[in-house]
Amino acid sequence: MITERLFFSKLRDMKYISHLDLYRCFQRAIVRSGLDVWYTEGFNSHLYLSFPLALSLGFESSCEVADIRLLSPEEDIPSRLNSCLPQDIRVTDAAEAVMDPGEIAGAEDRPEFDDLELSRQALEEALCGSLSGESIIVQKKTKKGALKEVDIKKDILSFELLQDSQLLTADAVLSAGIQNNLNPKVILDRLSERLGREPDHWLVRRTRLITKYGRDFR
Amino acid sequence: MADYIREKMLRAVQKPGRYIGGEPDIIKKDLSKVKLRFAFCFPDTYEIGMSHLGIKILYHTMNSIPEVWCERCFAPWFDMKQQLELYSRRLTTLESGDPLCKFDLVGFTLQYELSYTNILYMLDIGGIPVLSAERGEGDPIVVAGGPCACNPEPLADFIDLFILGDGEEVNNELCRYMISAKEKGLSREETLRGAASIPGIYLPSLYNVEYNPDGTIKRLQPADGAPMPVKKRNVSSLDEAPFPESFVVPLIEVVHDRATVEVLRGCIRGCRFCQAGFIYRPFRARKASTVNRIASDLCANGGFSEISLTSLSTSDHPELGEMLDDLLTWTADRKVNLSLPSLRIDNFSQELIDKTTRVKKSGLTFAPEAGTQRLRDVINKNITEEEIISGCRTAFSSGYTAVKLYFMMGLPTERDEDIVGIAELAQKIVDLYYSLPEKPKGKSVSVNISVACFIPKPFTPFQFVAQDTEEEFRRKQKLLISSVRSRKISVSYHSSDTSYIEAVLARGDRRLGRAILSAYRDGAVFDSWDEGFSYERWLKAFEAAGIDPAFYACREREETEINPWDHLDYGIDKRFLAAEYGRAKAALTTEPCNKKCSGCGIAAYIGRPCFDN
Ligand code: SF4
Repeated sequence: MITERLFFSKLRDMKYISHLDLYRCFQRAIVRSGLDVWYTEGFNSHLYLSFPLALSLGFESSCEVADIRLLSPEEDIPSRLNSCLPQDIRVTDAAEAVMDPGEIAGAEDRPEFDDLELSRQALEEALCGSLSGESIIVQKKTKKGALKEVDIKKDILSFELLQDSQLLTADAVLSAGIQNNLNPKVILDRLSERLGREPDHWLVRRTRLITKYGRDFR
Repeated sequence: MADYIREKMLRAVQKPGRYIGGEPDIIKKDLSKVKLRFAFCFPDTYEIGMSHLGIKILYHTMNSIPEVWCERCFAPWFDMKQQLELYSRRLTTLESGDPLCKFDLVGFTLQYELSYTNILYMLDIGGIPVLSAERGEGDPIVVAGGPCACNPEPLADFIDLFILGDGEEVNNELCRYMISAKEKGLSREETLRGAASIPGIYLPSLYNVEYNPDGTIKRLQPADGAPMPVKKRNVSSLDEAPFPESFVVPLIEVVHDRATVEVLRGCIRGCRFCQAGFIYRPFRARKASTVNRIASDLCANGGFSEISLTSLSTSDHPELGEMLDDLLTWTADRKVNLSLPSLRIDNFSQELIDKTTRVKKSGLTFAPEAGTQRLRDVINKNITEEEIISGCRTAFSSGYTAVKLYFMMGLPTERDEDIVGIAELAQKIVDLYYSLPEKPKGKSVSVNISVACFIPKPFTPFQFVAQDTEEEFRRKQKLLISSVRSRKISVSYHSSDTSYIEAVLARGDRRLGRAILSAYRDGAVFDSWDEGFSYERWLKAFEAAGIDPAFYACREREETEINPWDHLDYGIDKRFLAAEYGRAKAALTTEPCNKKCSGCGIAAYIGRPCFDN
């Protein structure tokens, strides 16, 4: 049995497809594609499919991963799956899994912002201001539902503005994975807090998953 | 620039997946090659609409014409309604994202009466005047079909054309006609008039209704050359009727997410309360081999893990055994389960259980409909108590521990003993369970009885009947509850409020249009949902329109009275319906059509006997 890792993008409207729905969508596509995949044993037998890192509803990504198990080696996996997937979900590559999902330590995200009332400069100042300071304290819900203050500064591994982008865009590397995970939405939340409202436009696209040594997750 | 407002709206709603389309297999066409645009509207949520078979069939049949582009549109839920209003945006289709007002034809499917206000709602936010009379040259032509089109009169103010009967052929004829009308440059008026000569198309504005002082209909006057009566369409062979090889597979979870194959149309049983059993006559079967091919294609193309064989009574299929055997040769290997939703208890056998789904051995549903043999004879539900008990025995011995039984209350000639009879029947099933040595070990039984309020429907023998009043319904519900003595039995019933409104709309006439409009103006949308329905709002709307709802729902109608739907010919003879009502009152049953023809009229309508023997 081969653990095959699918690398795929989830763009445009597909950002509104939840994790659970994405799961079903891939399940369908795998059945339709006729790939020789492994089914779990037992009463409620289903094909094996696992997503090492969940992406929140509303975010785009060009670097999602899904693991399946093949009973025999298969050819042309991306094109076979793509013919059964929505236009804006595209399998870009498939290869035998190299790393353990636990090795994911960070994600590179591209948050972009625009506002019809604020100049780019004003927006830029608000954004940088909202993330400056020795520590960044946010309220987080604990598992028991209580609110707790946490410093997220350490989970922002790097943050810089992209100079030649059309809209105000940042390149942020945030903690991701099972150890520490920072939802990129906090950047938007910080900015909104500062502006007193959400900017007219925001979009986050995840572009890269990395290990703690900064290597691409494969 | 990206559409910032659209993104804001999608982020603000709970289930954005309902509004984005983008499913694999969605049909998109090059507008420069399209001559006619059809917006197929389902007046309920995406999840409900996408579970419906009719829309899937017609989406494919219409799109099989290269120059026709049929797109889908569903009713936006309250949260999206608010967003559309906030940003003054229009309702759009999922395929192109264009607003409804840009289409040539906007078609609604009429599945239940309580969806009527959603039609007005969708037109309104789609940028189309809700009243037919206010639509002009540039506006789409609004059409509607489906089961409720058999009495379309309450919607006559809002719908330009109704499509009566099976839609597979007539929809495409209408589309082709519309293309030629556009090419000829016909005016709206000329286009509509011309469409009325297509068999199965009903143009209500060609018919003038006069009323008697007592409110009943005096006369219905067709305009010159208008067909009278207007005949429903009938697909002569279900086996040859088009059926899609693939469905648009939803990306979000819908009510029924499975490969559905219609195996029968029409029904041999003749249950007297059942509108579908009459308006879909004659009985037609799809061949076992065809069902097998369709099911296999659907599963391969859609990746489904469940096949559902649908009809009004699937176990009446003449080749049921063969059909299941064919399917079972490949379903297990392909990890596909089989489900048969419309089983009758009388031919529910061990063999059938083994052939259908192996998983989920928890619940089973049957519909005895009435609690006593006398009342079951009245409604012509030809099931005996022995058959019910033996069906349950089969179920229990093969591992089932829960049975759900469907009943109605308020049936014609019903007495209190019939209500008590429901509880007694449920008790006998509980007792049966505990008497069985082979019952599942260590598990207790649960019998759920679900009781609906009976709603008299057009084109049934009970179309003449007065519905019970609310007080009666409430009294009977209390009586039923107090008759249940076991904790293994649970009772659920429908609200009499919604059933009352449904009854008014089902047998209403054109004057109800004012009430529907007034209810909508007062905020009525999603009336089939608890979140939307308001009884008070409907009562207010009737009052504002000067309408006594009881006149429509709670009045016994003479055979000689002209019903609002009498000028529509569904092939069912009114004298037959009256005779059947007579037999009902005498508790006389009528044999199923495959045993003996009772002369309902449809054989003459199609020009051949329904069965070969
Ligand atoms: S014509 Fe006879 S056999 Fe045919 S549907 Fe009517 S009653 Fe049944």
